[in-house]
Amino acid sequence: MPELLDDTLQALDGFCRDVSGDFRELGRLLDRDPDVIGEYLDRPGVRLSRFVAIPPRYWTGPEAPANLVGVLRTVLGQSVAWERLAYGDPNVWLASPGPALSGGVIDVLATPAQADRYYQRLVAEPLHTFFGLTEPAKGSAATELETTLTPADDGDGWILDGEKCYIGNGARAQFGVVFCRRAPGLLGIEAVLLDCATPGFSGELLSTVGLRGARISRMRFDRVRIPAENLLGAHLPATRRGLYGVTQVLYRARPTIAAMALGCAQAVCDYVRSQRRTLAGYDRLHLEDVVDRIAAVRLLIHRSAADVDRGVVNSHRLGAAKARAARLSEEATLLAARLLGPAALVEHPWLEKIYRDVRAFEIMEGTTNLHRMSVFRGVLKNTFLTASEPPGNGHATGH
Amino acid sequence: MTSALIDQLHATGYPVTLDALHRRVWSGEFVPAPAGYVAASVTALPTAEPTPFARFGLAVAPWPGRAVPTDVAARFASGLLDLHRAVLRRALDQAVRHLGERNSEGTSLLAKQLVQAQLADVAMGLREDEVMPPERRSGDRAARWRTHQRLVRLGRAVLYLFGASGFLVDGPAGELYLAEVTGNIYLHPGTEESDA
Repeated sequence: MPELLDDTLQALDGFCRDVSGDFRELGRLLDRDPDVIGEYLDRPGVRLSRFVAIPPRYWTGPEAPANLVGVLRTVLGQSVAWERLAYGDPNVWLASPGPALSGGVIDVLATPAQADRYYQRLVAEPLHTFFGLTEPAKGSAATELETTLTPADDGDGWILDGEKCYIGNGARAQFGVVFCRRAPGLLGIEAVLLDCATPGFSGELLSTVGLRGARISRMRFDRVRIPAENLLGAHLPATRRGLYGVTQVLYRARPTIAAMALGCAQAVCDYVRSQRRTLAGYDRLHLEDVVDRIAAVRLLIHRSAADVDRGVVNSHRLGAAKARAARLSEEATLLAARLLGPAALVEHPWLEKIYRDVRAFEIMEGTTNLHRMSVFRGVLKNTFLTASEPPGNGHATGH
Repeated sequence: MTSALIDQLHATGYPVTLDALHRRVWSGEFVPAPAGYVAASVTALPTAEPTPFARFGLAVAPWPGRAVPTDVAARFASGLLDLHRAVLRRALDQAVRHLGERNSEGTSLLAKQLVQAQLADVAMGLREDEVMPPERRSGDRAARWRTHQRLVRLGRAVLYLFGASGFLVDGPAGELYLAEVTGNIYLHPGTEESDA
């Protein structure tokens, strides 16, 4: 693990390694049947995945070693943890019950009463949640979303209409957060809590190439009534509500998704080394090249994560770290399929699965093309590459 | 590659088109890969052990026995590359349609320079493949493997244009995945030659 990690972060890495020892086995089962996670809720890694995004004040017992509880709430700590868990298998964390990304919205936008209601429900039962942002026609462009929130005719709450697509756990969750439009413009975006038992809601599981544990889904809202108390951020100024909530959650999540991709890339390289111990010539050169780049991208991720923890966000660099990690994970699997010989995708079932799984990282947290455009804007603003920056030192800030 | 192959692919999908390739090159028999497997549709190989490929309509079964004549193996391998090209060409057409139907910030995604550049990259790669001298394109196992690797990279590039729908089994992602898998089974020249 990386050279910049202090003792606590290294201990966190070791803890995650210990609890994810069975993730390869669970990942294989989830690839066959994503719903099988319900049979393994007592496994330590699944339990950690369930509770880690729930604030410790709601825990009913120790869910992580006391010295790691604080660091698990940081983006850097989560990046270290998610890389190690994904090294085991990327499906398990995504398939596990718990708040996932929607918890981030609660942390930013909910009143204390709303947060209590949300987290106490998750502690009481192993429930799944969703983060409903992406739409079929608009992707994850939060400023362009078309799902509408209109006042109910009878004055009792709100009515939600529209469609979301490519939402993790959307068709299996019991509740979650939906971003929607109450009025035109950037300040007209809101976030609401939706209970999936509400009439008018329907969810459909999509058949994806890989990462089936994520249970990527399409969701439809046909005049779904949202109680007034489920509007998030109503107590906040308009500039601190819907869109602000989206960006805060995505900034915090981006390094962790990048770290998952990187964990898979590292796992693939280690797998190749275990299967072909005497790589030589160009084979060795190509593998070492990928390993070099994994080390570099890990530093990009950790620096971005530490920046987010300090409240300093360079979105261009954040996006670049995720984009590079996603593509690197694909390259690692393509290389492995070549290095492990004819029919490697038949004779190495784990490789065949991860070969499909890592393709998801391209579309999670914004596609590489979106991040390329962001990098381009950063170059123009001189906040992506900074010529005056001393080697190994901090970097410029900007948005 | 002919438009007839694209039409067949459109009508029946990758696995059944692969079955037709088997029948065409070896008098109705399945052509096994050098590694000792046959890949065909799940319909054509109903007794094959289930694998993760079955979700995509493909069966892969060990196939010990009869040696394949060199010319048959070469024709089958070239046919696989043609099939891969047909999948890619169809995916490119689908990408143009998909992007033309999507709007962002008031304009079609096809009007975005980044998208145009990516489409052009894929088209240039396909054109380069079209004009490649035959011996370098498919003259021997090593050449066919290099061609396969280039087609795989073009496939990934075209899927990036589909956004999240490029991760769904239904559509170009599923068929391009099968082209990658069959190439891995049939075209890989062996680890000693894999850098060729």
